[in-house]
Amino acid sequence: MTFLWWKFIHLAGVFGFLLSHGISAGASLRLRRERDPARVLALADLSQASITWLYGSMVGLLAGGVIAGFKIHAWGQGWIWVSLAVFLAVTASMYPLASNYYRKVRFVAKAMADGSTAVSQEQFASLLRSSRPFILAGLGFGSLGFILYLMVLKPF
Amino acid sequence: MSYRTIVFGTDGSDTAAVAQAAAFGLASRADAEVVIVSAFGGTLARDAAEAAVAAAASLAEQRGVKVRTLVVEAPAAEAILHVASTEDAGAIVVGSRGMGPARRLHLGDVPDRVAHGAPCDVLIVDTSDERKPAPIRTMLVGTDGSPTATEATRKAFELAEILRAAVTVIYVGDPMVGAIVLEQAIKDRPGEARAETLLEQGDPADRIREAAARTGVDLIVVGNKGMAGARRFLGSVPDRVAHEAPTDVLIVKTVGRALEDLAPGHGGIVTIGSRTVAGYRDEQGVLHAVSPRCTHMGCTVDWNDREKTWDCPCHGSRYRWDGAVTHGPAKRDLAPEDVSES
Repeated sequence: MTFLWWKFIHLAGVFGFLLSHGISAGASLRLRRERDPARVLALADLSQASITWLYGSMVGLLAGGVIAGFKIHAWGQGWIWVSLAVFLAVTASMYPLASNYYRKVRFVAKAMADGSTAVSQEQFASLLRSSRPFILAGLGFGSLGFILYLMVLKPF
Repeated sequence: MSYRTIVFGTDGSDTAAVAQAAAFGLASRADAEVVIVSAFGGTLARDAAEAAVAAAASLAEQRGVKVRTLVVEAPAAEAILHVASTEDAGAIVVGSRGMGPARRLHLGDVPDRVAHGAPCDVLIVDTSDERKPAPIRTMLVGTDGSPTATEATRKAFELAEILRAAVTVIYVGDPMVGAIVLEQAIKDRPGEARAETLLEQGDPADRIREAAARTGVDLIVVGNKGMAGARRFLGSVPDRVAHEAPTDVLIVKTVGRALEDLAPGHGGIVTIGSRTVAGYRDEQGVLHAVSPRCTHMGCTVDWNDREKTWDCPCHGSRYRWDGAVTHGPAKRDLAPEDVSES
């Protein structure tokens, strides 16, 4: 396959990644304003529903990008290595940051929806007001912006 | 929980006598038969082994406990494990100092090997001060809300019913999650045993040990997750509790179970030969087995005893007890597994 086709696969993967991850990002930010456990669970389900597309897009994004890089002999340059390293590092750090927090949100919301009184509405609200979604969004947007800079400007 | 057969190993020592009293006490309350085992060929001669089991059997009969004796030529731990397996024992009772020479403040070689290799529950009796053991009146059980911990908690309450003991359930970790886990543990407990809860933070093994010392409980109950395989070298919570506890410890078999370990109305991941299946035994005793692999991304599902469902810990998919998917992101049911029970 030519370089253009691999570039197409890479960009299609990026498009799918942003679309599916955007669903999760939007749901996580919306969660901060919810207080009804059932609605919180529904938003969490919406976020989970995009996971399969996210992983599939990441495969296309990485495979297309790595091979396209070989096609244009880019692996001798620093920008592609740094881009890959940043992407992998951010993915590795975001996963525990996000999954631990949202696992707890889902667990508490499910228990409250089932009638548990162990957690008060104030405690639940405090949990949902966490700055974690902003941290994740900042990490995600920041890293993607940096990778975009590297890929367009190829500074080194 | 029913202990039909309890295996007890003895070398006739004073510390063995302490563990022996605990074994007979448990057997008496559970109406179980005790198989008394003594191993010779190492430090113990055959004559001494036979004398040890005869003396123990005599005491058992005086207490009205059903008893059989076995004298085996083998290393002590292997003898106990072999007899427990062939007798289909529900529990093994060993002393914390083991049989023969043992280091102070450490589990001896025998109880440690038994605890890590047992095919059933293991009661490790604290024989450090060779005291006359008291009946078990209070128990402490640790939970983290996981399916195996929930199973251990359930068994602890069932044992408490048999022994007429009070139970304290302890959770070490996030306060919000812990409050819910403890609420569920009390709400779902079988029987009417008196129950209290403790919520702590920090290192689980340390907090459990401290709580046991502070409250003066007679028995700590933990599941056996992490007692075998590579995790035992990483210092799993039950392994550390077994080694550091200031009192008796019951290690309940919650991992590596077989089909016959599933009680009616309960499910879990069980091992059949070289494969694992997700099994649920309904209230009528009929077994339903499905694949334990979530059809979304292949994670191993967990049994949710409250809802009688299979839950995927990775992305939240849920399946009914018969494998029918009820909640995504999975779209396909868990495949049925062919198992046959004799």
